[in-house]
Amino acid sequence: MNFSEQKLKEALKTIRMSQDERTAIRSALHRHMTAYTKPIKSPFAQHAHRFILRPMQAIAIMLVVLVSSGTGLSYAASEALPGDPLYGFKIGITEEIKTITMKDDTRANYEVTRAAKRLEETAQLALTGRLDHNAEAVIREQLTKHTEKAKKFAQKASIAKPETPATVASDINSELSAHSQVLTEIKEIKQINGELSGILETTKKTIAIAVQDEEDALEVLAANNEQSEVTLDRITEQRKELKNKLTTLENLVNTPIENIESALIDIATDLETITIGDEMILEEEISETPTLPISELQEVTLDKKIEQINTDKEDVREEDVLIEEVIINNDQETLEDPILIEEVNVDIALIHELSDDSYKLETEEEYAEASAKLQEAIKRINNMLSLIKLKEKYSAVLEEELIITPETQEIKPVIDEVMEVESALEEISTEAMMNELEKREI
Amino acid sequence: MEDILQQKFLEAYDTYNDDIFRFCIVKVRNRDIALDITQDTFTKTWEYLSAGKEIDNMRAFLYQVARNAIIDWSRKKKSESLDALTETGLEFGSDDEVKQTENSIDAKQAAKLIDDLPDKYRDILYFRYVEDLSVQEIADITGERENTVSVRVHRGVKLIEELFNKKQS
Repeated sequence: MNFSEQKLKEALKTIRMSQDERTAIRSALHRHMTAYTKPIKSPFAQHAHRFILRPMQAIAIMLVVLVSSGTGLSYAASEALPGDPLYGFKIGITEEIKTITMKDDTRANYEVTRAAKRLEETAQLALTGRLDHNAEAVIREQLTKHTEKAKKFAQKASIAKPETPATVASDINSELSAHSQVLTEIKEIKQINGELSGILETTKKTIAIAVQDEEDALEVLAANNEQSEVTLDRITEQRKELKNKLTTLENLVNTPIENIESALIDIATDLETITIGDEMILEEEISETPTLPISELQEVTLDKKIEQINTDKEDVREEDVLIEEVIINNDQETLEDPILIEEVNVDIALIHELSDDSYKLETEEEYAEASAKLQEAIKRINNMLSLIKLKEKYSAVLEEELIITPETQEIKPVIDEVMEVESALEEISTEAMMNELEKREI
Repeated sequence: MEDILQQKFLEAYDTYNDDIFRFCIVKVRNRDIALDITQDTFTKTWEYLSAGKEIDNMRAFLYQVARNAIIDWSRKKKSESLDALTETGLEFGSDDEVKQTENSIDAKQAAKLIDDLPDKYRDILYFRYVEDLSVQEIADITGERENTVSVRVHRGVKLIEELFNKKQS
């Protein structure tokens, strides 16, 4: 019988609950659901909360809702001026209600509009001769409030739109300047002083602050841009570097370390029959001290050779830097390439051959050949080790960058590449595992 | 509002109860424990929903909860081998189990096959080929990268095939 995913699936799909079991769990679930039901947050919950806390405002809101369609209370209120009975309703409720659904940047702009509206009202009052001390106080207070709120919300909005504080400050400046010009004219024509001068003074102060704010905001903006440019440059550079390393890594991954390791384990297995359990321990040790297969007779002579090899191995380690350069010069082939896989297999075969021959090693020459081969294998292992270290190092750098700046989105593809190589490594090692398994079965 | 949510959740239960149960029994290899974990999975998910949180993909979410519940369970209790359980009378299928034909794998064999896979392939392969979840969904459930999931699916299929053939011969 041949294997197919379909059969596996069909087999597993026969696993089901019995009708009784299904019903039992369903009713248990139903009981639990009824018992365990927390109130679900409604999107209106927050406003409902307001109703509870401020009943007067709640009534006012309801009134507004009732009459908002035309000529009712809120319409009347919208035309109210300071000193009118409905003015408090207008600035405290009608205008505030509009802000409920506003986003931060819209809200900031709206506050600027409101500040301008206060000056418009001032003009109306001045022209009709109703600008008294009380009205002045209200308007001055509101003016400061509105501009401060505009500033506050612009700052909030700056997270999503960094330019908002600058544009809002500029808006405050232009809106208020225009209105204060009109007011100055009215002051001259109507010969009003006192209250109007007070309001004009506040307006001028506000404008001055706005000008300063705009300058500051622009500076911050410029600094941010510069910052991100620097970051981007750095990332681009790193990316380039990383890509180089990755290319070389991909090219060099033709001899997966696991293959060699498992082959070395084989050698050891042949030498002294060990259990699979021992192999786990050996797997750790073997990477530290590769042992050569030796016959009993040659043991003494070969011991010296082994020493020699271990020294060589150390030399290879010291040459890691050099290896890196070699790596960089290598190019073109990719992991998926079947030819590379073939090469890997040839390597493994070589090592296996070495392990088989080991029983017949009799002459110095034969031994020299075998040791050369083993040395080659060790060299490759070290290559791989340094590559893997390299890769780890770079992916760590990248992960870090990701947290620091949003611009690092840019390097995501590169990280993905690293991951791909990782996966490919994993794939090859599994391949080696399977080969091992097969061999053992045979 | 409440009632609608309850209704919808019970519908989800009716749709996915077997899927979750199957996943549990393949992993824990004990019918009673699998039933417990299945119930637990749905209760926990309800508590999550009931706290006002949203679930984009109910199926994937249920698997994730079940998976965590199984991990908790296996931490508490060292898992017994399948053989030991079989001796004490493990039944995979329910009473209305479909009779197997000669050219099919039986449920126990299939579960054993899945079980013999290395950890990292087991769940991924199960989700992909038995439950037809997308790579994206599997990545969400297991917390692995999509890329890794794809590679493991690919490798896992080869592995399971070889395992199967080895057992046949």
